[in-house]
Amino acid sequence: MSPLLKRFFSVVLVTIICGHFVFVFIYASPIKINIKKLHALSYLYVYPIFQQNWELFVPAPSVERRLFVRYETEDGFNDWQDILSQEIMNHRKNRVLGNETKVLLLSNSMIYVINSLYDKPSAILREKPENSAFKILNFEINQYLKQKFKVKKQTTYELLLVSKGTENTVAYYIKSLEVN
Amino acid sequence: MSRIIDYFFNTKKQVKEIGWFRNALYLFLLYKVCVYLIQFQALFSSERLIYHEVKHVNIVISSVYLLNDYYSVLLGVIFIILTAIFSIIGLLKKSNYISNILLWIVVMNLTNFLYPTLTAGDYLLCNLLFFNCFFIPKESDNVTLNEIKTAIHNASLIAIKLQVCLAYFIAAYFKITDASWLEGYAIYQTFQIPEFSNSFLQSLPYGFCLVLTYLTMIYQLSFSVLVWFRPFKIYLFSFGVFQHLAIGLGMGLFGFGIVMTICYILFLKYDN
Repeated sequence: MSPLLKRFFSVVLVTIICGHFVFVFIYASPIKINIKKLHALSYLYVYPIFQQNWELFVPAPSVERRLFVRYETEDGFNDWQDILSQEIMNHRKNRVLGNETKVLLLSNSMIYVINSLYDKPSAILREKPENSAFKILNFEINQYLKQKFKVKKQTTYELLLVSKGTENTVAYYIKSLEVN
Repeated sequence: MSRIIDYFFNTKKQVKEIGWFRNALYLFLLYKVCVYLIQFQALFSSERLIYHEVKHVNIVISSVYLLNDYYSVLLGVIFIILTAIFSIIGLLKKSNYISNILLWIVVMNLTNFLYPTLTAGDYLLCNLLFFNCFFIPKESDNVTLNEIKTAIHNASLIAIKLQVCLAYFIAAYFKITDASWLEGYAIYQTFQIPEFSNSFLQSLPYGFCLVLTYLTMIYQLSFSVLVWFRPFKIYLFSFGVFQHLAIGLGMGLFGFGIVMTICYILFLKYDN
């Protein structure tokens, strides 16, 4: 290859590498750049192919979450089961078997639901919240009940979401849910 | 400019470390395949826990959402088997551009399908697999083509290193702007949350966690600079491996801990 072509090719590679990391930096860093077009471009470029998130425990988690569920049996409702804690304990027994997927799944969905309800103080909700965060959690619990407890369709169940922080604790008791 | 040209075109850099890096990556993917099989019912079966909606955006993006858009149990099985096959091909040193690109697309599909269960390690893994496509290309008879392949190999190597440095820099920047990290209680507070802890980590004294918090910040801040200087590497990697094993085995983010540790292989510079 001629030196000129090598030079040209090197410039192209450097430009691609620099361009790539400029977009990744704009997308992933907390530094605010007041150019909306650049943000939109970086989003288009990075998501979903080069997606990344480096917040890593920022802010440090400060709330302990509990996800209780109970369902109706022939003898009335069974005892509350803290399914998130059960999965956490399962995961602690063996870290390499991939139980973290279930813990992250339930925990992440719960965070979104609690955030979506956060304008309300602790409450008893007689109807299920109509938002996408709850739709996802509800789907997961439905499947979990069917998979783990062999609960049949149209069984009534209830949820109790507890978020216990150092400063305050909130709890949401969601009634009249149905396995479908 | 001549140094840049020399870097790209001279020789394929760090072939030995890249070989180790690739082996580690493929072994890790085989481990992921085992996890997918163990957790199959929860993740891929008809009773899977993962909620998903069809996303038709454009051809490029749809290619990494195939499993999501056309989900069936069989397709899930096929993607898992393909991951295993392409990883084994890689371990047997039979991989090429096509098999590595296919591996990257398959893993991207699995990753996007499992979106609520992802950690930063899963995203990093996809990025590593992308750049891995261009490593150690097979020689051809055309000299010019070989030179271009060498240049792309070296560009991918520097890109992965920059990606790791950028990750540490951004992670550090987030931390130095956060009160819980600046005041030193972030790790102690995290260890009190059952989700990211175990009985041993929960019992660690506050003073120890305080030191660990500041060491973590110093480590992440300095990594991007010190990793380029040989005398510091042993200290950086010792602390890094310890930290990522603790995250993996103690805090339960096993995949994340392993992927971050795999990245260090490329900084070893054994050949030079």
